[in-house]
Amino acid sequence: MAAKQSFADLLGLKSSNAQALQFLGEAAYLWMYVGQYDKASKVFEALSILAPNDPVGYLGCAEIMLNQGKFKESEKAAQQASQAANIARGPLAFAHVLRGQALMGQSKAKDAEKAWQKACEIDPDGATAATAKARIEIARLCGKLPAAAAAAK
Amino acid sequence: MAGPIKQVGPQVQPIPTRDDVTADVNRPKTEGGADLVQAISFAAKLYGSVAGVGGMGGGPLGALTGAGGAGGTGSMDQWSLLKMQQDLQRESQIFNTLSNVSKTEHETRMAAVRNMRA
Repeated sequence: MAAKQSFADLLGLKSSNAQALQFLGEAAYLWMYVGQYDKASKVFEALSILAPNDPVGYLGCAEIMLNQGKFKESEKAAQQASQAANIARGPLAFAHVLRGQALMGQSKAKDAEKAWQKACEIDPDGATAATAKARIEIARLCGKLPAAAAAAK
Repeated sequence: MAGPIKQVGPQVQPIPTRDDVTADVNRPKTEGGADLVQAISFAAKLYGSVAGVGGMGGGPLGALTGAGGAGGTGSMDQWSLLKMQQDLQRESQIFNTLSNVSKTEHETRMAAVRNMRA
């Protein structure tokens, strides 16, 4: 218990351990947004050790690898995220969106479409479903997937 | 002056209106032709960069240039412009969609972070 408290104290957060983890998560995403993938990756890896039942660490790793063009590793990390114990519907759908992107990176367009459709099924009314649909639409517009009419046949 | 016109070649007609279709294609050389040629070159480059084709008149539409005769020239330009407009609309649509996707995905990430438990 004392070790946990000191972890939060170490980060200057005089409150719960959860808040310290959230702080780390936000910091890691900030590193990722500014293109500091190495720094972000280290924090995400730390998060996957500190909070193995939360998907954030794995999701972050999947996104970093996606940005670095490591599509196979990204797919694996997204898969791990989707198997995290404390995953809510939204992040689960997001994990499938990331998996779809990783598959698209490996030129597996059909599998990518399936992953995005899975994301739509998991959280049909959520915002992530809309992004999954948008990704399918973009892939169609870019000619990576057949047009909607052709796909329906 | 003749250089840029030859460079654009017969694929691009530097005459924007139907009324001028019978005019000499070299006419712009003497009447503010430099501006016109520049504008056409710019449009051709823009079109090439947007559509990923060689320039105006390229691809399937290029065949129409020679076949259409005098009456087809103005119509050819309109086709090119229409195609260019469609390409720009498509790019704009992709950009808007990606922008919305980025915003939503950021919110999803932050929601996942806020749900973290010790």
